[in-house]
Amino acid sequence: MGSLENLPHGDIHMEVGGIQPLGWMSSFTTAGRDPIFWLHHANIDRLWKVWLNQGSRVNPPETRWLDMSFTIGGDASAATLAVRDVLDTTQPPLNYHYTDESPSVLEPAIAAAAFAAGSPSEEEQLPEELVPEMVGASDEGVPLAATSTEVEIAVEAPSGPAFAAATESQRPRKVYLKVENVKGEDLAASSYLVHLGLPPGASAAEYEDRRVGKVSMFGVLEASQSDEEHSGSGLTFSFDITGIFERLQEAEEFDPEHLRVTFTPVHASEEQSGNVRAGRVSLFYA
Amino acid sequence: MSATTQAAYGVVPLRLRRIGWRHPEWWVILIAAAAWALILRHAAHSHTVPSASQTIIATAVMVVAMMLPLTLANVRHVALSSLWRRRHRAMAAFLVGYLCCWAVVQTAIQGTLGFLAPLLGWTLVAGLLMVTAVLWEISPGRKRRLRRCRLTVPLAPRGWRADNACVRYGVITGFGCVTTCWALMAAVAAFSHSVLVMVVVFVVQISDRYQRRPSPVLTSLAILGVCLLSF
Repeated sequence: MGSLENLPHGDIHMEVGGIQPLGWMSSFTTAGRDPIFWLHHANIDRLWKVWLNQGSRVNPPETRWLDMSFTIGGDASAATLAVRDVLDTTQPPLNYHYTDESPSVLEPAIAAAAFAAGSPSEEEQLPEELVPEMVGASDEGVPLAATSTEVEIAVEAPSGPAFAAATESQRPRKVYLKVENVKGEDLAASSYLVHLGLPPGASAAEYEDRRVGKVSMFGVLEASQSDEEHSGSGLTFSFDITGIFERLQEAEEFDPEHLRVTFTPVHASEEQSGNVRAGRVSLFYA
Repeated sequence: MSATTQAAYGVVPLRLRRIGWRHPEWWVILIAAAAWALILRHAAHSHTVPSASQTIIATAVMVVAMMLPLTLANVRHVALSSLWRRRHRAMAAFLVGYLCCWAVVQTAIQGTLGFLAPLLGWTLVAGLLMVTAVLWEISPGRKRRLRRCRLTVPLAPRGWRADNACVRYGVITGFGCVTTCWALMAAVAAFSHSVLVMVVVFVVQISDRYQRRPSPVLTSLAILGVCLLSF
C-alpha cells in the first residue's frame, strides 16, 4: 500500500466516518454516499497532480494499472473509464483544471510524512541497486485493540544484499518497518499510532520522536473478506524508519534482541473491544 | 556471512547476483521449465500405452510443469518474507505443502478415472469432464476462488515454527489452487495428458492467474476447442 493511500487518504475516511457507529465514510461500500467523499477524493487527485508537477515524477507506466477500468453510475448514464482515460484532467472526458496547483498545498502532507517517519526522505523511492532484506520479524501477531499493545522483534545481522550495500560503518542505507496482514471483522479504534523502541512501560506521548507513522483502519474490514476483489489477506503497511533507527543507534538504545513496536489506538471505542490483529511486524534493511 | 558465501560473492557477477536477489524464485522456474522439456521430449518419442508407474510419473511431471508457474508470486512472497539465510528452505517448505495437496487430488482423479473409464468408456468420461471443465470455467464463484490464490499469511521468522508456517501456507495455497483448477486438471488427465490439451489448459490457467480481468468466454472456448480436437 502506498503511503498516500494510508495517510492522508484512509486516515481522513476514518476521521470523518468514525467507528461508533461505523459511518458512511468508514466503509468502501458506503463512502460514496457521503458528499464529503467527493471533496476528499478530488483533493487527493489534486495532491497527486501537484506531486507529479515536481521534477521528473511520472505516473506508473504499467499496462495493468493503465488498463484498469471502472464503471461509474448506472442504467443509461453509466460510463466505463480506464485509468489511462483520466490521467490528464484537462483533456476529454474530464475537461477540468485545478484552481491551485502550487507546491505549497503539499506542505501539510510533507510535514506530516516527515514527522511520522522522522526523516524527510520518506517519500523517496528505493534506489534500484538496493534490495530489501528481512532481518527480523515478530514470532506472533499483535492485537490492535482499544488499549495500547506491543510486540517485540529479534533482529539479526544482514547476510544478503543489505550486507553488501551497508555503509562503511556497517549501517544499512535504508530501514523499513512492515505491519503485515492487518485483518479482522470488528474495529476497536479508527487508527493506531506506531512507535519504535519505547522503553518498557513508557507512554507513547512522551516519545514523539520515535513515532513511525499511523495505521488507518480504512479498508481493513473489506480486505479481510474473501470475495471477487479481495483475497482475504488484510492490509499491509510499510514505513521508512531510517531516521528513527539511526537516532536509536546513536542514543545506544537500539536493542536488536528486543526491538519493541507499540500500537496506540486513536479514537478508541469505549464499547467495542474489536478483533483486529496485525499478523506480523517485520524489519527490513536495504 | 560465511567464508563460502563470501567466496561465492567474488565469483558470481554483481548483475547476476542482483537478479538472484530480486528473483529468488528462479530455481522454481527452472524446475517447471525442465518438467515441460521432459513432457515435450516424451511426447515426441513415445507411442506406446503407458504403464501404471509411467502414469504416476507423467502425472507428477505434469503437476510440476503446469502448477508451479501459477505459484511464483506466492513462492516469491515466502522468500522475501523470510530471513535471508532461510529463504530457499522456506520456498522448498512451501512447495512441499503445495505439491502434497496436488498429490492427494491427482491420486483421487486418477483413481476415479481408472474406475469410471472401463464402466462408461473413455469417450464418455472425457466428454463429461470436458463439459465440466467448461461449465466450471464460466461459473460465477470461480472469480472469488481465483482471488483466493493471492492470499498471503503471516510467516514465523525462525525455527520449526517458520518451517511449519511455510508448509501450512503451501497447503492453503494448494487447496485454493485445487478448488480453482481441479476441473481443468481432471480434463487434462482424461485426455491422457495430451500435450496439446496440456499446453492450452496451461495458457488458460496462466491467463486466469495473472490477467486482471480474464475473459471466461474466451478461455472456455479454448478449452472446448482443444478437447474437441483431441477426441
